[in-house]
Amino acid sequence: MSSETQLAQFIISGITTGSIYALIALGFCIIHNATGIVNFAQVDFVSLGGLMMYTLLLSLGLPLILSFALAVLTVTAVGALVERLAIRPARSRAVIVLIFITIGASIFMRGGFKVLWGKNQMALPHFSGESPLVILGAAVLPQSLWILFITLAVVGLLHFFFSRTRIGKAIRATSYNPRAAALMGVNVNRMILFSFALSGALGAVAGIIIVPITTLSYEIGVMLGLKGFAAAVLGGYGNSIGAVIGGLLLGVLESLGAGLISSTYKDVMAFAILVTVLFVKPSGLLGYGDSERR
Amino acid sequence: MLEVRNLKAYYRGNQALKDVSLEVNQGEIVCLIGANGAGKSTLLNCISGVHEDQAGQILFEGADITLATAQARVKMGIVQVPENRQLFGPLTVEENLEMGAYLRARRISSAELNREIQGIMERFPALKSRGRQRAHSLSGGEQQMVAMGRGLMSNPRLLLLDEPSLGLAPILVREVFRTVEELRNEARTILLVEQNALGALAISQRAYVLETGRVTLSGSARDLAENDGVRRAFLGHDVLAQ
Repeated sequence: MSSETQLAQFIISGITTGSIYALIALGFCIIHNATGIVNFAQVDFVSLGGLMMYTLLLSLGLPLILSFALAVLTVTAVGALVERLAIRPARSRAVIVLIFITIGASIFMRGGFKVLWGKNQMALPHFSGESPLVILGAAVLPQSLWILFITLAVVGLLHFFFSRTRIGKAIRATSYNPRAAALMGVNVNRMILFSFALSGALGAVAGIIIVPITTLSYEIGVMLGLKGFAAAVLGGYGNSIGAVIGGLLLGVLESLGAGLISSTYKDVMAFAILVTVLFVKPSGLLGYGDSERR
Repeated sequence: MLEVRNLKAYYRGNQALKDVSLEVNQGEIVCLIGANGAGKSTLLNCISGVHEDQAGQILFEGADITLATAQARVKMGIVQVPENRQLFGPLTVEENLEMGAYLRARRISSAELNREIQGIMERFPALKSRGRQRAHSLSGGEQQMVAMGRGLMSNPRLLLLDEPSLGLAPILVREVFRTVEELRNEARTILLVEQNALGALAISQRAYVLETGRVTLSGSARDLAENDGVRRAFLGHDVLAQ
């Protein structure tokens, strides 16, 4: 294998995992913009997406597309429930309190998953076969193309939602100025609910499409989710374009690091980048200059 | 049209409003004058339904709306243009205006919505070329126009204006007051909160003076403009200048 094809191989696999980080980072951003908090339960939305897919597709034998849709819907509902049952009833609106609540929700959910699905590793089939295609000399799994295609579609849909629809614009308006939004008749709590539901959907999609090329377990989302978080910080926490760029960049750097240096340090890469960003430019690549809420 | 009875409100543990009662009749401009911290904005927020810590009664067209949500009040036609504009800064001028029509947007077509946005641009010609610009890139005067336009987009019957002239150059202040009068002539009712007492009294029919959370004076705008206490407390500078 020549060094160019090797490089192409690393970059393509980096973009594949980077897409997943981008989707998860977007989930983090949407909730941050709506509430100012970091939602640590995001990582479990990713796990639940994969787990639901396993149950629907393999245990119940439903068709792929139907399983995909139902798994996303379930996690969307769970996202809404987290807001309704854990965030909204909180008597304090302090950011730090709400963040602790999401950590609690995360631990609770992970425990539930362990009881329901067990501790074993599971596997999901690829969406359309496992024979690699050759692109630029690099072997690419069809699943990687699915991941790229679906990520692109999701990012496009999100863009449309936030820039063209009434609710999407209202969610943005609420994130910039909740009080003014309330004065315009926007139900601010409902916008926060929608944000959690949407983040649930994004987490689920990420989990569903990545699990066929990793393995599945009740805590598969934890490492992916934390890297998604690192991607969000890298891009500038709260900035959606930054989240996508941060995700792809992190994926590629991680893949190059693993390929060219040592795969032992694969996970170290992501967190070294996270720590470096926090030390050198805490506002991230496309951040707003200060780390306070806008 | 609007009746506030014995309203008490608390803000950060302090009593911001102490048994405030006031009335606004259909077709009036009523102004509320008072120093910083007198409770003017708190009062408007109570009327808008975005201030939770309150007791007393608020009636709108005879119906008790004390417990109504902020959305319900906007639907009834009570709309506030808040102090310091409070625009959605990163959204465009058009999107800001669109947010004003948020509750009506489901019922009107997008062509209708665009026509209404054009209508606002006609009223405030300075905004005409600014539709696609982000709101926070505008000057203070233009931002005030967007804020008022956004309020008008919800088709208010009672408009609550919180310090619309704050921080504007004198020529713009006059324009703001002229716009307020125009709105009254279009059969909208207005409750105007102002620190620029002279300008506000000149266009109002009636007025209330709020001091440390209490209504200390009320009456016709003309009487209050001639009241010695009011002149000393609020008009000092303006009167000397005349």
